[in-house]
Amino acid sequence: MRQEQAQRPCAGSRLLMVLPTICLLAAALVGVIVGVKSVRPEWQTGLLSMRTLQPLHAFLGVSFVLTGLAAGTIIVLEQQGGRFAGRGLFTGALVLFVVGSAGLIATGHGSGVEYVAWPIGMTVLIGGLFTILSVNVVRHLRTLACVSAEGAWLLGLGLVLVVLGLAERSSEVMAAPGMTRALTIEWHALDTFFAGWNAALYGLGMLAICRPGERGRPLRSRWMFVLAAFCLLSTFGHHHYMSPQPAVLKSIALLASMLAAVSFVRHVWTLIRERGHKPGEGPPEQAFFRAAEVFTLAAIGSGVLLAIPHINIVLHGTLAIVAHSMGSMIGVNVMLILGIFVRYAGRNDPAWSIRLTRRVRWVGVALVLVCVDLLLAGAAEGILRLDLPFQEFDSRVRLWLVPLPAFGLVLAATIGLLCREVWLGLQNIAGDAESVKVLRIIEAKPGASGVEPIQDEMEVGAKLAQARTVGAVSSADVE
Amino acid sequence: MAHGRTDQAAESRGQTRQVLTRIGVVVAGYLVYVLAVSVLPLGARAADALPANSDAQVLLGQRVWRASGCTSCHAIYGLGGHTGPDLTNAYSRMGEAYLRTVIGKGVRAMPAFELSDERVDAVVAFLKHADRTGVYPTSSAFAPVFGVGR
Repeated sequence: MRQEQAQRPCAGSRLLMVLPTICLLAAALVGVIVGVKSVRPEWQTGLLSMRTLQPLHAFLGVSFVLTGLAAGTIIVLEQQGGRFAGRGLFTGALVLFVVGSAGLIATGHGSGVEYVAWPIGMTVLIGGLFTILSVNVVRHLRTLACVSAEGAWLLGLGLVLVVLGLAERSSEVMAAPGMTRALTIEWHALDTFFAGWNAALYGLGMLAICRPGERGRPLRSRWMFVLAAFCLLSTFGHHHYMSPQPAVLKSIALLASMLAAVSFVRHVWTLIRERGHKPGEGPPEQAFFRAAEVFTLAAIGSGVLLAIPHINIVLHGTLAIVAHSMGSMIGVNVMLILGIFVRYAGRNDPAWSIRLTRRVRWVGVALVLVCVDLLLAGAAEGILRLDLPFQEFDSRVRLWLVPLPAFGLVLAATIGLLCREVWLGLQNIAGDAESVKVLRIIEAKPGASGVEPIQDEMEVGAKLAQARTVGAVSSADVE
Repeated sequence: MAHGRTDQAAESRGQTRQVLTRIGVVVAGYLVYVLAVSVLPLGARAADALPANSDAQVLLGQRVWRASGCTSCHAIYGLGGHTGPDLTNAYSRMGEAYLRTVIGKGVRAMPAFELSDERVDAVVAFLKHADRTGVYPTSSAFAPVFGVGR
């Protein structure tokens, strides 16, 4: 317990965690408006133009991941390897990137490029910041590898791939080499960028779950590494089976995508092994990492299915792909980033742990509702567009989207509640006081005879754990 | 005791080297792909269908397409927004006159774009170029697996 509290992040680290949280909440808010516009595109075309809303929504989502990844990396480095020089300046530059880019996109000065919506000049800033992060990770690689060699590999590689993906994407936009070549580079750069941040976040997660003195996951076997590297580098071609790219790239992509089923099976196995844990039993961040596991499984499974050419022909370019990417982004990236923040909050409070588990479940349920609706609309679009022109099938597809604004609102609200709970825990505002209240209630219950009265409020976490052991506390008590 | 510490340090160094090697291998693989993309004749099919002197106009069209935020609502080969139709084959399916009218006057949720004639010509040339590169979406789920050429 004492060791845990010594690891609590300082005020500067908490400030670094605010930025991604604001980006996430803003993305959720804009997403609700985009949800309404997807049902009624004619609504407020002047004031709320999709020309601004769509890139702003995508930018806020991407900037959540980038700022969250940066914050998580700095916190892990500080916890494991000491000081991160120039953190204040680094945070200022991240704020400049987010505020500056959002302002320019909102006033119609974005790049007009999918996913990398910020003005191309801003890439130099964010690319530079991630280069600094990569250098720092490489400098502390030995320390990180001692904690978890697999985690260190994924984190280091992921950060490098983020920089390479950004550089590739920007050089294509600046050089404008023509549509056919641009399509290949665009997908390759985007896949590298996304693969980079996913690898880095999984690496951070592996490093974060290790308690002081614990040894984390060792490097995977050589053959599993070769398989992972092949899949990481080659799957990009499955995004454009129908576009005029060389068939060799597409064939390699198909093979790599099908081999990703091995990763799917490994994740299934992990989940089966972890079955049976109850909320509040493990550390507070456990709920986040388990949710990330479940949604990783869904993301890989749907990715493998979508890479099958005849399914790809029907669903690619429809809202089904939005469901796939939203599921990955919220279900995996959001859970990993918030889980890492919670891990280093240094609170050992079962009541907080149970509340977080509940909030994570609500987000999961809301996310499933949104994704299922998008998937159905996407499937309808994919089937109808085979025979009908857009003007004829559009209104039918929009019918499927009618519940989307309501589901989107629920998702935004649950994300808001989850962020509030995480934030209160980080600030240490509500948790202890509420836990004392819960314990007072439990003490008054007839079945709580095994719980000793509270003498010292500093030991609330341990008392609650004791109350759970004797069966005197339930999730309902905590709520 | 000291011997144990030396072993541990050696193991730690070996592990770090292995981590660095694995990062290097993947980055090298990435560079091979970038090299492959830059040497493969990716533009060949499109170039067959388009006179060489219109290249500059197509590139200007691509820039106008991006600057006007067309990607927010429209996609080409599935990459882009979902509010409006995918425009890969809009040129052949809707016709040039229809495209010019829609760009200039707007339609339903799409606002009118105040573009100069030169810029409208460039966007139309860009869409014509996209149209000639292939068919998307296809008219059958049992189309040739790796795309339909023109």
